[in-house]
Amino acid sequence: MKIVEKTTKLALNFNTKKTGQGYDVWMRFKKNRLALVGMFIVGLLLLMAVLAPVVAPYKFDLQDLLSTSQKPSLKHLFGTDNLGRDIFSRIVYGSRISLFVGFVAAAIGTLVGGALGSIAGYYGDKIDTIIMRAIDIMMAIPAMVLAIAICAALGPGLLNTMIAVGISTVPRYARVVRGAVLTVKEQEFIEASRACGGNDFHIILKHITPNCLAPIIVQASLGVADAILAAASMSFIGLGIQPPVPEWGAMLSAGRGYIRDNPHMVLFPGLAIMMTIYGLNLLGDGLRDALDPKLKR
Amino acid sequence: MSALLEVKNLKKYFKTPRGMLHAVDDVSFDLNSGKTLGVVGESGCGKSTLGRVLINLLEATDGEIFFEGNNVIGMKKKQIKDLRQYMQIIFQDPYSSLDPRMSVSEIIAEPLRIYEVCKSNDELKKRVQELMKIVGLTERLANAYPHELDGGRRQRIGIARALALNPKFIVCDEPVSALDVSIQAQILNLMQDLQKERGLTYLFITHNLSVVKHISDDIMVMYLGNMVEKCNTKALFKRNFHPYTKALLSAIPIPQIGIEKRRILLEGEISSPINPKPGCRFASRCIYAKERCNSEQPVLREILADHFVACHYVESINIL
Repeated sequence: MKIVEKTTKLALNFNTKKTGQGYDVWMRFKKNRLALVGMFIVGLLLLMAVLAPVVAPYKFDLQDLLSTSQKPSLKHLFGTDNLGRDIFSRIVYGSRISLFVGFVAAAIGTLVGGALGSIAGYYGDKIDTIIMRAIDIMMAIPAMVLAIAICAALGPGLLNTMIAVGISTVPRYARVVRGAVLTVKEQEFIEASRACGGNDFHIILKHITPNCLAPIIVQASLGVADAILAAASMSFIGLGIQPPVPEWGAMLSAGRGYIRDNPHMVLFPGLAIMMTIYGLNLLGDGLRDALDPKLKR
Repeated sequence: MSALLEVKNLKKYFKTPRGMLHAVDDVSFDLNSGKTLGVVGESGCGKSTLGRVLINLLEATDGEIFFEGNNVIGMKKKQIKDLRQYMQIIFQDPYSSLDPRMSVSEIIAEPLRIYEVCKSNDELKKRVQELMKIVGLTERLANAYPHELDGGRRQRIGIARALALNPKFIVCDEPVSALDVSIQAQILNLMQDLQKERGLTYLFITHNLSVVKHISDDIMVMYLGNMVEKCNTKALFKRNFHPYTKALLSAIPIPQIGIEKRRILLEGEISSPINPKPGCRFASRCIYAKERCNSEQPVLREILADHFVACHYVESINIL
């Protein structure tokens, strides 16, 4: 009986039904519990951001000066800040800003850096030297300083913060992608594809990108988290998102002065940042594993 | 019989920090349709480079390659793409020559997709199944990934991919050296069967002399980018004239106890292929080398009918 079971299982493994690659990835992703937790957290955050007006009990800029600096209670789930605003509502609304800034900034970094890195890695020689030396110059300036400089030049605001944070992460992506491209480029299947008539565009799109996806996805999932932090830091020094728009980093820095008497003012925004980053990292790790067919069990 | 491939004075040099590396230097030969030319030589003698230059994966530095009478060198990209349908390659390493993120059917379908051979997806699927059948892969492996399969099956995928566009000429770059012996035989037989059925022409690159004896019609011996001897396989194993060929063939193990083997052991340094000195490249290791060998490069001469050797002193070394 057991043998029969085993053989049927084996036969099932070699599923002859045509299944899409996306389906394969999902099947592998599903088996990873931590990744599902990550997806759950990120999904919850996204839902919260979209449904902010429904979820939040108060408006984010409603000041109740009679109940300032209150500890968490049933009325104010996460307490209130020094101006009497409900922290829970502000965190809910803040998720909109933070996630948006994080994803857009990481996307800018990934696209610009990824394109530069893959061009440098694939074509090599002079193009590689020119691009990578320019990247080196950018790397010589600390990312935060660069972001501040860009933001100072463009002026504060949501869009400019995203651009500034995005550009400051470009060197990191470019390096990671270039390294990945270099290792893939030397493999024989690239030559095989050329022998089959594939041109540069085909090879980059069909062979190099899928094989470089793992490090890019991991870098991007960490990058979203980093961008959220960077945007928060920018708000902290007054160059990022302007009050009264709620932003987790700005909330964190605003509550900084009251940490002794009212630790909840920094605790909850901090936890929100932490959970977001944790969720994104789990999701990124899970995706990396799921995208690699070699880990298929 | 017409020559499918005519190569004249083909050269491929690589720029290195220490100078020009002469990977393939002045190689000329004809290859008739339906035949197999074996290319043998030690590691780094330019065998693989030669194969890649022939199918235009590398650009030749100088020389001419005529494929069915058309000069391949200097062709435009579009023309080369058209030509690639007829020239394919089977790689040595079945582990790195298949994209790990593509399933078996996707790999085999790739050339078909690029050249838009099939009009519909159903036709494509049919053609892929047909190819898998030809090379002896069961249908259920279509959605498997290369890493799930063993070396022999992977090499079959490589062969199926090479066959997809119905090529006339296939460069086989040590296709069996990464496989174990029993699988080697299977793959070699498969390749021979395919040759018979489809009239394929092979350039068979290898360092395994037993394999080359089995599969080739003609053999070309290379040493540091130069062709040193070329003739019919049977003739070469019977009579060979170049000192390097003699040494190479004496290294074939004889599976018989009690036979006294006379191996020719080469001494001396292998001369560098980077900016080579004038003269015979084998001179530094040749026991017969004289002064002339260090100053003048020997040209390939037809010593016997259809038997070419590049050595100044063939006549004095051998009894012709």
